[in-house]
Amino acid sequence: MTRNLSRLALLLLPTLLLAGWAASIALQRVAQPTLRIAIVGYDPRDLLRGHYLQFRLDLAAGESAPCACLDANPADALRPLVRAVACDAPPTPAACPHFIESPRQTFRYYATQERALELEKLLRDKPGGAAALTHFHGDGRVSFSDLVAAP
Amino acid sequence: MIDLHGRAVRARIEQWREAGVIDAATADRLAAHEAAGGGASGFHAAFTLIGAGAVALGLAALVAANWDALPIWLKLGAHVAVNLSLGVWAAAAVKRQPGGAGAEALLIVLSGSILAFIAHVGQSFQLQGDLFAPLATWLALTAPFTIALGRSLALRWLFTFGVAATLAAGAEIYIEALARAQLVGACAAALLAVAYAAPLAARGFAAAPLWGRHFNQLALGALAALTPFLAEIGWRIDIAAADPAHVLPEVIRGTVVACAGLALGGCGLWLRARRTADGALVGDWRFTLFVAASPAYAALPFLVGGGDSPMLAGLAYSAYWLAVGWFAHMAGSVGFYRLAVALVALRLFSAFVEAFGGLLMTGGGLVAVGTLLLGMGWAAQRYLRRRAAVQPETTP
Repeated sequence: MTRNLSRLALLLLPTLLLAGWAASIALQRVAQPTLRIAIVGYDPRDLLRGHYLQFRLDLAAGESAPCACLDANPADALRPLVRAVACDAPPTPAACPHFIESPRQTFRYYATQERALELEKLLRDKPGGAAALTHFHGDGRVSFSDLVAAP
Repeated sequence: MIDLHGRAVRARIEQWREAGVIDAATADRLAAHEAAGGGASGFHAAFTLIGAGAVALGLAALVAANWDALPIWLKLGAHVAVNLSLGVWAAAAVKRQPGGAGAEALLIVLSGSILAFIAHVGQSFQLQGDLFAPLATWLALTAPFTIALGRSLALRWLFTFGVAATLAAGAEIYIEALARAQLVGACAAALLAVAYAAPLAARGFAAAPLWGRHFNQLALGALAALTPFLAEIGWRIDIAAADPAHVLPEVIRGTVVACAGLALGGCGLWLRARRTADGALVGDWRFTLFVAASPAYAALPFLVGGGDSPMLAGLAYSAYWLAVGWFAHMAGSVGFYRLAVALVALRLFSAFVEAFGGLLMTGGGLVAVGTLLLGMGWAAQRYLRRRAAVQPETTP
Protein backbone atom coordinates (compact mmCIF):
# COMPACT_ATOMS: atom_id res chain seq x y z
CA MET A 1 0.00 0.00 0.00
CA THR A 2 2.75 2.43 1.03
CA ARG A 3 4.73 1.47 -2.05
CA ASN A 4 1.70 2.09 -4.28
CA LEU A 5 1.19 5.51 -2.75
CA SER A 6 4.85 6.48 -3.04
CA ARG A 7 4.87 5.34 -6.69
CA LEU A 8 1.78 7.42 -7.39
CA ALA A 9 3.27 10.41 -5.57
CA LEU A 10 6.47 10.16 -7.62
CA LEU A 11 4.47 10.22 -10.84
CA LEU A 12 1.89 12.88 -9.92
CA LEU A 13 3.89 15.35 -7.83
CA PRO A 14 5.84 16.87 -10.76
CA THR A 15 2.61 17.81 -12.55
CA LEU A 16 0.97 19.11 -9.38
CA LEU A 17 4.01 21.26 -8.54
CA LEU A 18 4.10 22.67 -12.07
CA ALA A 19 0.36 23.33 -12.00
CA GLY A 20 0.90 25.27 -8.77
CA TRP A 21 3.71 27.22 -10.40
CA ALA A 22 1.47 28.13 -13.37
CA ALA A 23 -1.34 29.19 -11.03
CA SER A 24 1.04 31.36 -9.00
CA ILE A 25 2.23 33.10 -12.18
CA ALA A 26 -1.36 33.80 -13.17
CA LEU A 27 -2.21 35.13 -9.71
CA GLN A 28 0.91 37.31 -9.49
CA ARG A 29 0.27 38.67 -12.95
CA VAL A 30 -3.02 40.24 -11.81
CA ALA A 31 -1.16 42.36 -9.25
CA GLN A 32 1.87 43.22 -11.37
CA PRO A 33 2.22 46.78 -12.69
CA THR A 34 2.09 47.00 -16.48
CA LEU A 35 3.05 49.41 -19.24
CA ARG A 36 2.28 49.24 -22.93
CA ILE A 37 5.61 49.81 -24.66
CA ALA A 38 6.43 50.18 -28.36
CA ILE A 39 8.78 47.54 -29.74
CA VAL A 40 11.23 47.25 -32.64
CA GLY A 41 12.44 44.11 -34.38
CA TYR A 42 15.82 42.90 -33.13
CA ASP A 43 17.21 42.00 -36.53
CA PRO A 44 15.33 43.23 -39.63
CA ARG A 45 16.65 40.27 -41.67
CA ASP A 46 15.58 37.66 -39.17
CA LEU A 47 12.73 38.77 -36.93
CA LEU A 48 11.25 35.32 -36.59
CA ARG A 49 12.95 32.29 -35.07
CA GLY A 50 10.44 29.50 -35.51
CA HIS A 51 7.34 30.71 -33.71
CA TYR A 52 9.26 33.34 -31.73
CA LEU A 53 9.31 37.00 -32.68
CA GLN A 54 12.54 38.63 -31.52
CA PHE A 55 12.29 42.25 -30.46
CA ARG A 56 13.59 45.03 -28.24
CA LEU A 57 11.72 47.68 -26.31
CA ASP A 58 11.62 50.99 -28.19
CA LEU A 59 12.63 53.17 -25.25
CA ALA A 60 13.65 56.80 -25.04
CA ALA A 61 17.30 57.75 -24.49
CA GLY A 62 19.16 56.15 -21.57
CA GLU A 63 18.05 52.62 -22.23
CA SER A 64 21.62 51.31 -22.26
CA ALA A 65 21.71 51.36 -18.43
CA PRO A 66 22.15 47.86 -16.95
CA CYS A 67 19.15 48.45 -14.66
CA ALA A 68 16.46 51.09 -14.99
CA CYS A 69 13.13 52.42 -13.84
CA LEU A 70 10.67 53.17 -16.61
CA ASP A 71 8.55 56.25 -15.98
CA ALA A 72 5.54 57.48 -17.92
CA ASN A 73 6.47 59.84 -20.75
CA PRO A 74 3.95 62.69 -21.18
CA ALA A 75 5.24 63.30 -24.73
CA ASP A 76 4.89 59.70 -25.93
CA ALA A 77 2.75 57.21 -24.03
CA LEU A 78 4.35 54.18 -25.74
CA ARG A 79 7.97 55.19 -25.11
CA PRO A 80 8.53 55.55 -21.36
CA LEU A 81 11.42 57.55 -19.93
CA VAL A 82 14.40 55.59 -18.68
CA ARG A 83 15.90 56.38 -15.29
CA ALA A 84 19.10 54.46 -14.55
CA VAL A 85 19.30 52.80 -11.12
CA ALA A 86 21.80 50.58 -9.33
CA CYS A 87 21.29 46.86 -9.98
CA ASP A 88 22.66 45.75 -6.60
CA ALA A 89 20.40 48.12 -4.63
CA PRO A 90 17.16 48.37 -6.59
CA PRO A 91 14.58 50.92 -5.46
CA THR A 92 11.41 49.88 -3.62
CA PRO A 93 8.36 48.97 -5.73
CA ALA A 94 6.67 52.14 -4.48
CA ALA A 95 9.53 54.31 -5.74
CA CYS A 96 9.98 52.31 -8.94
CA PRO A 97 7.01 50.19 -9.99
CA HIS A 98 8.50 49.54 -13.44
CA PHE A 99 11.94 48.21 -12.55
CA ILE A 100 13.74 46.35 -15.35
CA GLU A 101 17.12 44.65 -15.75
CA SER A 102 18.94 45.00 -19.07
CA PRO A 103 16.28 47.06 -20.83
CA ARG A 104 18.25 46.69 -24.09
CA GLN A 105 18.11 42.90 -24.08
CA THR A 106 16.38 40.98 -26.84
CA PHE A 107 13.02 39.54 -25.85
CA ARG A 108 11.03 36.75 -27.44
CA TYR A 109 7.32 36.54 -28.04
CA TYR A 110 5.72 33.20 -28.83
CA ALA A 111 2.87 33.24 -31.34
CA THR A 112 1.19 30.76 -33.62
CA GLN A 113 2.55 30.67 -37.16
CA GLU A 114 -0.06 32.95 -38.77
CA ARG A 115 0.03 35.45 -35.93
CA ALA A 116 3.83 35.47 -35.91
CA LEU A 117 3.89 36.28 -39.63
CA GLU A 118 1.39 39.13 -39.10
CA LEU A 119 3.52 40.59 -36.32
CA GLU A 120 6.66 40.26 -38.39
CA LYS A 121 5.02 42.19 -41.24
CA LEU A 122 3.84 44.83 -38.82
CA LEU A 123 7.33 45.43 -37.46
CA ARG A 124 9.00 45.22 -40.85
CA ASP A 125 6.65 47.79 -42.42
CA LYS A 126 6.94 50.24 -39.55
CA PRO A 127 9.63 49.96 -36.84
CA GLY A 128 7.91 50.69 -33.54
CA GLY A 129 4.61 49.89 -35.20
CA ALA A 130 3.67 47.35 -32.54
CA ALA A 131 3.39 47.60 -28.77
CA ALA A 132 3.68 44.96 -26.05
CA LEU A 133 1.79 44.94 -22.77
CA THR A 134 4.73 44.54 -20.42
CA HIS A 135 4.37 43.04 -16.93
CA PHE A 136 6.98 44.02 -14.34
CA HIS A 137 7.74 41.22 -11.85
CA GLY A 138 9.42 43.56 -9.36
CA ASP A 139 12.82 41.83 -9.40
CA GLY A 140 13.95 43.20 -12.76
CA ARG A 141 12.32 40.49 -14.87
CA VAL A 142 9.50 41.26 -17.27
CA SER A 143 7.04 39.23 -19.30
CA PHE A 144 4.44 40.04 -21.91
CA SER A 145 0.79 39.25 -22.32
CA ASP A 146 -0.32 41.02 -25.45
CA LEU A 147 1.30 42.31 -28.59
CA VAL A 148 -0.78 44.54 -30.87
CA ALA A 149 -0.39 47.23 -33.53
CA ALA A 150 0.59 50.57 -32.02
CA PRO A 151 -2.13 53.21 -32.38
CA MET B 1 -8.75 -13.24 -41.68
CA ILE B 2 -5.68 -15.11 -42.95
CA ASP B 3 -3.29 -15.64 -40.07
CA LEU B 4 -0.04 -15.00 -41.95
CA HIS B 5 1.90 -14.29 -38.79
CA GLY B 6 0.75 -17.51 -37.12
CA ARG B 7 1.52 -19.53 -40.23
CA ALA B 8 5.05 -18.10 -40.40
CA VAL B 9 5.67 -18.79 -36.70
CA ARG B 10 4.43 -22.37 -36.97
CA ALA B 11 6.69 -22.94 -39.98
CA ARG B 12 9.64 -21.51 -38.07
CA ILE B 13 8.92 -23.75 -35.06
CA GLU B 14 8.85 -26.77 -37.38
CA GLN B 15 12.21 -25.72 -38.88
CA TRP B 16 13.76 -25.39 -35.41
CA ARG B 17 12.41 -28.82 -34.43
CA GLU B 18 13.77 -30.43 -37.61
CA ALA B 19 17.15 -28.75 -37.11
CA GLY B 20 17.29 -30.11 -33.57
CA VAL B 21 17.38 -26.64 -31.96
CA ILE B 22 14.32 -27.48 -29.87
CA ASP B 23 12.83 -30.82 -28.91
CA ALA B 24 9.35 -32.04 -29.86
CA ALA B 25 7.84 -31.18 -26.48
CA THR B 26 9.10 -27.57 -26.68
CA ALA B 27 7.81 -27.31 -30.25
CA ASP B 28 4.39 -28.50 -29.11
CA ARG B 29 4.33 -26.01 -26.26
CA LEU B 30 5.33 -23.14 -28.57
CA ALA B 31 2.69 -24.14 -31.13
CA ALA B 32 0.05 -24.35 -28.39
CA HIS B 33 1.06 -20.91 -27.12
CA GLU B 34 0.73 -19.44 -30.62
CA ALA B 35 -2.62 -21.17 -31.17
CA ALA B 36 -3.88 -19.70 -27.89
CA GLY B 37 -3.64 -16.17 -29.26
CA GLY B 38 0.01 -15.35 -29.79
CA GLY B 39 -0.62 -14.82 -33.51
CA ALA B 40 -3.59 -12.55 -33.00
CA SER B 41 -1.76 -10.23 -30.59
CA GLY B 42 0.28 -8.69 -33.39
CA PHE B 43 -2.83 -7.74 -35.36
CA HIS B 44 -4.56 -6.48 -32.27
CA ALA B 45 -1.55 -4.37 -31.30
CA ALA B 46 -1.21 -2.97 -34.83
CA PHE B 47 -4.90 -2.00 -35.04
CA THR B 48 -4.78 -0.51 -31.54
CA LEU B 49 -1.68 1.48 -32.39
CA ILE B 50 -3.04 2.79 -35.70
CA GLY B 51 -6.46 3.56 -34.20
CA ALA B 52 -5.06 5.32 -31.14
CA GLY B 53 -2.60 7.21 -33.31
CA ALA B 54 -5.37 8.41 -35.63
CA VAL B 55 -7.51 9.58 -32.70
CA ALA B 56 -4.55 11.37 -31.10
CA LEU B 57 -3.59 13.06 -34.37
CA GLY B 58 -7.20 14.08 -34.99
CA LEU B 59 -7.50 15.59 -31.53
CA ALA B 60 -4.18 17.39 -31.95
CA ALA B 61 -5.34 18.83 -35.30
CA LEU B 62 -8.64 20.00 -33.78
CA VAL B 63 -6.84 21.69 -30.90
CA ALA B 64 -4.21 23.23 -33.20
CA ALA B 65 -6.88 24.66 -35.51
CA ASN B 66 -8.48 26.50 -32.58
CA TRP B 67 -5.35 27.11 -30.50
CA ASP B 68 -5.62 30.91 -30.46
CA ALA B 69 -9.30 30.80 -29.58
CA LEU B 70 -8.76 28.65 -26.49
CA PRO B 71 -8.19 30.49 -23.20
CA ILE B 72 -4.88 29.89 -21.41
CA TRP B 73 -6.50 28.26 -18.37
CA LEU B 74 -8.25 25.73 -20.61
CA LYS B 75 -5.08 24.82 -22.49
CA LEU B 76 -2.97 24.51 -19.37
CA GLY B 77 -5.77 22.76 -17.46
CA ALA B 78 -6.13 20.19 -20.22
CA HIS B 79 -2.39 19.62 -20.22
CA VAL B 80 -2.41 19.11 -16.42
CA ALA B 81 -5.28 16.62 -16.79
CA VAL B 82 -3.38 14.71 -19.49
CA ASN B 83 -0.24 14.57 -17.34
CA LEU B 84 -2.15 13.41 -14.26
CA SER B 85 -3.89 10.72 -16.30
CA LEU B 86 -0.55 9.59 -17.71
CA GLY B 87 0.83 9.47 -14.15
CA VAL B 88 -2.01 7.29 -12.87
CA TRP B 89 -1.80 5.06 -15.94
CA ALA B 90 1.97 4.72 -15.62
CA ALA B 91 1.62 3.85 -11.90
CA ALA B 92 -0.85 1.08 -12.76
CA ALA B 93 1.37 -0.20 -15.60
CA VAL B 94 4.48 -0.24 -13.39
CA LYS B 95 2.58 -2.10 -10.69
CA ARG B 96 1.27 -4.65 -13.20
CA GLN B 97 4.56 -5.30 -14.98
CA PRO B 98 7.64 -3.38 -13.77
CA GLY B 99 9.99 -2.79 -16.68
CA GLY B 100 7.38 -3.90 -19.22
CA ALA B 101 7.21 -2.18 -22.60
CA GLY B 102 3.92 -0.44 -21.72
CA ALA B 103 5.20 0.90 -18.40
CA GLU B 104 8.46 2.14 -19.91
CA ALA B 105 6.66 3.80 -22.83
CA LEU B 106 4.30 5.57 -20.43
CA LEU B 107 7.20 6.80 -18.29
CA ILE B 108 8.91 8.20 -21.39
CA VAL B 109 5.69 9.88 -22.58
CA LEU B 110 5.04 11.34 -19.11
CA SER B 111 8.60 12.64 -18.89
CA GLY B 112 8.27 14.29 -22.31
CA SER B 113 4.87 15.70 -21.48
CA ILE B 114 6.21 17.28 -18.27
CA LEU B 115 8.94 19.00 -20.29
CA ALA B 116 6.29 20.11 -22.79
CA PHE B 117 4.20 21.51 -19.93
CA ILE B 118 7.10 23.65 -18.71
CA ALA B 119 7.50 25.01 -22.25
CA HIS B 120 3.72 25.45 -22.47
CA VAL B 121 3.65 27.61 -19.31
CA GLY B 122 6.60 29.64 -20.59
CA GLN B 123 4.87 30.26 -23.90
CA SER B 124 1.49 31.01 -22.34
CA PHE B 125 2.87 33.69 -20.04
CA GLN B 126 5.60 34.80 -22.47
CA LEU B 127 8.26 34.20 -19.80
CA GLN B 128 11.76 35.30 -20.77
CA GLY B 129 14.91 33.40 -19.91
CA ASP B 130 17.50 30.86 -20.97
CA LEU B 131 17.21 27.16 -21.71
CA PHE B 132 18.95 26.03 -18.51
CA ALA B 133 16.18 26.86 -16.02
CA PRO B 134 13.40 24.86 -17.74
CA LEU B 135 15.71 21.90 -18.43
CA ALA B 136 17.02 21.85 -14.84
CA THR B 137 13.46 22.06 -13.49
CA TRP B 138 12.38 19.20 -15.74
CA LEU B 139 15.34 17.08 -14.67
CA ALA B 140 14.78 17.75 -10.96
CA LEU B 141 11.10 16.83 -11.25
CA THR B 142 11.43 13.73 -13.42
CA ALA B 143 14.68 12.24 -12.08
CA PRO B 144 13.05 10.66 -8.97
CA PHE B 145 10.47 8.61 -10.88
CA THR B 146 12.82 7.93 -13.81
CA ILE B 147 15.52 6.42 -11.58
CA ALA B 148 13.13 4.72 -9.16
CA LEU B 149 10.81 3.14 -11.73
CA GLY B 150 12.53 3.18 -15.13
CA ARG B 151 14.49 0.16 -16.29
CA SER B 152 14.70 0.19 -20.08
CA LEU B 153 17.80 1.19 -21.99
CA ALA B 154 15.73 3.84 -23.82
CA LEU B 155 14.70 5.53 -20.59
CA ARG B 156 18.21 5.39 -19.15
CA TRP B 157 19.64 7.03 -22.25
CA LEU B 158 16.84 9.58 -22.39
CA PHE B 159 17.76 10.55 -18.83
CA THR B 160 21.45 10.65 -19.74
CA PHE B 161 20.80 12.94 -22.71
CA GLY B 162 18.63 15.11 -20.45
CA VAL B 163 21.48 15.46 -17.96
CA ALA B 164 23.95 16.22 -20.76
CA ALA B 165 21.66 18.83 -22.35
CA THR B 166 21.05 20.50 -18.98
CA LEU B 167 24.76 20.60 -18.19
CA ALA B 168 25.58 22.00 -21.62
CA ALA B 169 22.91 24.70 -21.26
CA GLY B 170 24.17 25.54 -17.76
CA ALA B 171 27.82 25.60 -18.81
CA GLU B 172 27.04 27.99 -21.66
CA ILE B 173 25.64 30.50 -19.21
CA TYR B 174 27.57 30.00 -15.99
CA ILE B 175 30.98 28.51 -16.79
CA GLU B 176 32.81 31.85 -16.93
CA ALA B 177 31.20 33.10 -13.74
CA LEU B 178 32.00 29.81 -11.98
CA ALA B 179 35.58 29.95 -13.21
CA ARG B 180 35.96 33.52 -11.95
CA ALA B 181 34.59 32.45 -8.57
CA GLN B 182 36.89 29.38 -8.70
CA LEU B 183 33.93 27.08 -8.15
CA VAL B 184 34.23 24.81 -11.19
CA GLY B 185 36.00 22.11 -9.17
CA ALA B 186 33.42 22.26 -6.38
CA CYS B 187 30.57 22.04 -8.90
CA ALA B 188 32.20 19.08 -10.68
CA ALA B 189 32.64 17.28 -7.34
CA ALA B 190 29.02 18.01 -6.33
CA LEU B 191 27.76 16.76 -9.68
CA LEU B 192 29.71 13.52 -9.35
CA ALA B 193 28.50 13.01 -5.80
CA VAL B 194 24.90 13.36 -7.02
CA ALA B 195 25.54 11.02 -9.97
CA TYR B 196 26.95 8.29 -7.72
CA ALA B 197 24.40 8.88 -4.97
CA ALA B 198 21.39 8.63 -7.29
CA PRO B 199 21.42 4.81 -7.62
CA LEU B 200 22.12 4.50 -3.89
CA ALA B 201 19.12 6.71 -3.13
CA ALA B 202 16.99 4.41 -5.26
CA ARG B 203 18.43 1.21 -3.74
CA GLY B 204 15.05 0.22 -2.31
CA PHE B 205 13.72 -0.11 -5.84
CA ALA B 206 14.29 -3.06 -8.11
CA ALA B 207 15.70 -0.83 -10.87
CA ALA B 208 18.66 0.34 -8.75
CA PRO B 209 21.22 -2.29 -9.96
CA LEU B 210 20.48 -1.39 -13.59
CA TRP B 211 21.03 2.28 -12.87
CA GLY B 212 24.19 1.49 -10.92
CA ARG B 213 25.57 -0.36 -13.94
CA HIS B 214 24.48 2.44 -16.26
CA PHE B 215 26.24 5.11 -14.17
CA ASN B 216 29.28 2.86 -13.93
CA GLN B 217 29.53 2.65 -17.71
CA LEU B 218 28.93 6.37 -18.06
CA ALA B 219 31.61 7.13 -15.47
CA LEU B 220 34.23 5.02 -17.20
CA GLY B 221 33.17 6.30 -20.63
CA ALA B 222 33.33 9.93 -19.50
CA LEU B 223 36.72 9.35 -17.90
CA ALA B 224 38.03 7.68 -21.03
CA ALA B 225 36.84 10.63 -23.10
CA LEU B 226 37.90 13.43 -20.73
CA THR B 227 41.40 12.27 -19.81
CA PRO B 228 43.09 12.22 -23.25
CA PHE B 229 41.06 15.25 -24.36
CA LEU B 230 42.29 17.30 -21.41
CA ALA B 231 45.85 16.04 -21.79
CA GLU B 232 45.80 16.88 -25.50
CA ILE B 233 44.83 20.49 -24.70
CA GLY B 234 47.75 20.64 -22.30
CA TRP B 235 50.23 19.19 -24.78
CA ARG B 236 49.03 21.54 -27.53
CA ILE B 237 49.12 24.92 -25.78
CA ASP B 238 51.39 27.17 -23.76
CA ILE B 239 49.09 27.71 -20.80
CA ALA B 240 50.38 31.01 -19.41
CA ALA B 241 50.39 32.62 -22.86
CA ALA B 242 47.03 31.19 -23.86
CA ASP B 243 45.06 32.45 -20.91
CA PRO B 244 46.42 35.47 -19.08
CA ALA B 245 43.21 35.82 -17.06
CA HIS B 246 43.78 32.30 -15.60
CA VAL B 247 40.17 31.34 -16.31
CA LEU B 248 41.30 28.25 -18.20
CA PRO B 249 43.35 26.71 -15.34
CA GLU B 250 40.32 26.87 -13.05
CA VAL B 251 38.17 25.12 -15.66
CA ILE B 252 40.96 22.57 -16.04
CA ARG B 253 41.15 22.08 -12.26
CA GLY B 254 37.41 21.43 -12.33
CA THR B 255 37.84 18.89 -15.10
CA VAL B 256 40.67 17.17 -13.20
CA VAL B 257 38.40 16.97 -10.14
CA ALA B 258 35.75 15.44 -12.38
CA CYS B 259 38.30 12.97 -13.79
CA ALA B 260 39.45 12.01 -10.30
CA GLY B 261 35.88 11.46 -9.14
CA LEU B 262 35.03 9.46 -12.23
CA ALA B 263 38.16 7.37 -11.82
CA LEU B 264 37.58 6.55 -8.15
CA GLY B 265 33.86 6.01 -8.49
CA GLY B 266 34.27 4.13 -11.74
CA CYS B 267 36.90 1.83 -10.25
CA GLY B 268 34.77 1.13 -7.20
CA LEU B 269 31.71 0.33 -9.23
CA TRP B 270 33.73 -1.64 -11.77
CA LEU B 271 35.30 -3.79 -9.11
CA ARG B 272 31.96 -4.36 -7.43
CA ALA B 273 30.35 -5.25 -10.74
CA ARG B 274 33.13 -7.63 -11.71
CA ARG B 275 33.02 -10.00 -8.77
CA THR B 276 32.02 -13.62 -9.02
CA ALA B 277 29.23 -15.05 -6.91
CA ASP B 278 31.71 -16.03 -4.17
CA GLY B 279 33.11 -12.47 -4.03
CA ALA B 280 36.38 -13.01 -5.93
CA LEU B 281 37.55 -10.29 -8.31
CA VAL B 282 37.18 -10.91 -12.04
CA GLY B 283 39.63 -9.45 -14.52
CA ASP B 284 42.93 -7.70 -14.02
CA TRP B 285 43.71 -5.19 -11.24
CA ARG B 286 46.20 -3.38 -13.52
CA PHE B 287 43.37 -1.96 -15.62
CA THR B 288 41.75 -0.59 -12.46
CA LEU B 289 45.06 0.98 -11.40
CA PHE B 290 45.48 2.50 -14.85
CA VAL B 291 41.97 4.02 -14.72
CA ALA B 292 42.59 5.40 -11.21
CA ALA B 293 45.84 7.02 -12.39
CA SER B 294 44.22 8.70 -15.41
CA PRO B 295 43.52 12.05 -13.65
CA ALA B 296 47.22 12.36 -12.80
CA TYR B 297 48.06 11.88 -16.47
CA ALA B 298 45.41 14.44 -17.47
CA ALA B 299 46.96 17.01 -15.11
CA LEU B 300 50.56 16.27 -16.12
CA PRO B 301 50.91 18.63 -19.12
CA PHE B 302 49.40 21.47 -17.09
CA LEU B 303 51.78 20.87 -14.22
CA VAL B 304 54.72 21.23 -16.60
CA GLY B 305 53.28 24.40 -18.19
CA GLY B 306 51.88 22.87 -21.39
CA GLY B 307 53.63 21.27 -24.32
CA ASP B 308 52.96 23.77 -27.15
CA SER B 309 53.28 20.91 -29.67
CA PRO B 310 50.46 19.44 -31.78
CA MET B 311 52.65 16.49 -32.73
CA LEU B 312 53.37 15.68 -29.09
CA ALA B 313 49.63 16.02 -28.41
CA GLY B 314 48.77 13.53 -31.16
CA LEU B 315 51.39 11.03 -30.02
CA ALA B 316 50.30 11.33 -26.39
CA TYR B 317 46.66 10.82 -27.36
CA SER B 318 47.45 7.70 -29.36
CA ALA B 319 49.76 6.38 -26.62
CA TYR B 320 47.02 6.82 -24.00
CA TRP B 321 44.49 4.89 -26.06
CA LEU B 322 47.00 2.20 -26.95
CA ALA B 323 47.57 1.80 -23.22
CA VAL B 324 43.81 1.60 -22.65
CA GLY B 325 43.63 -1.06 -25.35
CA TRP B 326 46.48 -3.04 -23.80
CA PHE B 327 45.16 -2.92 -20.23
CA ALA B 328 41.62 -3.63 -21.42
CA HIS B 329 43.00 -6.66 -23.27
CA MET B 330 44.73 -7.84 -20.09
CA ALA B 331 41.52 -7.34 -18.10
CA GLY B 332 39.35 -9.05 -20.68
CA SER B 333 37.30 -5.89 -21.21
CA VAL B 334 36.33 -6.26 -24.86
CA GLY B 335 34.21 -3.09 -24.98
CA PHE B 336 37.09 -0.85 -23.97
CA TYR B 337 39.48 -2.73 -26.25
CA ARG B 338 37.22 -2.06 -29.25
CA LEU B 339 36.80 1.58 -28.26
CA ALA B 340 40.56 2.05 -27.93
CA VAL B 341 41.27 0.51 -31.35
CA ALA B 342 38.58 2.66 -32.98
CA LEU B 343 39.84 5.88 -31.38
CA VAL B 344 43.49 5.27 -32.24
CA ALA B 345 42.42 4.57 -35.82
CA LEU B 346 40.39 7.78 -35.95
CA ARG B 347 43.26 9.80 -34.49
CA LEU B 348 45.64 8.41 -37.09
CA PHE B 349 43.12 9.22 -39.80
CA SER B 350 42.80 12.86 -38.64
CA ALA B 351 46.60 13.13 -38.31
CA PHE B 352 47.05 12.03 -41.93
CA VAL B 353 44.41 14.48 -43.16
CA GLU B 354 46.05 17.23 -41.11
CA ALA B 355 49.57 16.40 -42.27
CA PHE B 356 49.02 16.14 -46.03
CA GLY B 357 48.33 19.36 -47.91
CA GLY B 358 47.04 19.59 -51.51
CA LEU B 359 44.59 17.29 -53.29
CA LEU B 360 47.15 14.80 -54.64
CA MET B 361 48.93 14.36 -51.30
CA THR B 362 45.62 14.21 -49.43
CA GLY B 363 44.44 11.48 -51.83
CA GLY B 364 47.65 9.52 -51.28
CA GLY B 365 47.36 10.01 -47.54
CA LEU B 366 43.76 8.81 -47.51
CA VAL B 367 44.70 5.67 -49.45
CA ALA B 368 47.57 5.03 -47.03
CA VAL B 369 45.55 5.61 -43.88
CA GLY B 370 42.58 3.69 -45.27
CA THR B 371 44.82 0.69 -45.89
CA LEU B 372 46.22 1.01 -42.38
CA LEU B 373 42.74 1.16 -40.86
CA LEU B 374 41.59 -1.87 -42.87
CA GLY B 375 44.60 -3.77 -41.56
CA MET B 376 43.90 -2.73 -37.97
CA GLY B 377 40.25 -3.67 -38.33
CA TRP B 378 41.18 -7.07 -39.75
CA ALA B 379 43.67 -7.68 -36.95
CA ALA B 380 41.16 -6.62 -34.28
CA GLN B 381 38.47 -8.84 -35.78
CA ARG B 382 40.84 -11.81 -35.91
CA TYR B 383 41.90 -11.24 -32.33
CA LEU B 384 38.29 -10.95 -31.10
CA ARG B 385 37.24 -14.14 -32.92
CA ARG B 386 40.17 -16.05 -31.44
CA ARG B 387 39.40 -14.64 -28.02
CA ALA B 388 35.67 -15.45 -28.28
CA ALA B 389 36.58 -19.04 -29.05
CA VAL B 390 38.72 -19.25 -25.90
CA GLN B 391 36.41 -17.60 -23.36
CA PRO B 392 32.96 -15.96 -23.26
CA GLU B 393 32.81 -12.19 -23.83
CA THR B 394 32.83 -9.94 -20.77
CA THR B 395 32.17 -6.25 -20.63
CA PRO B 396 32.70 -3.80 -17.76
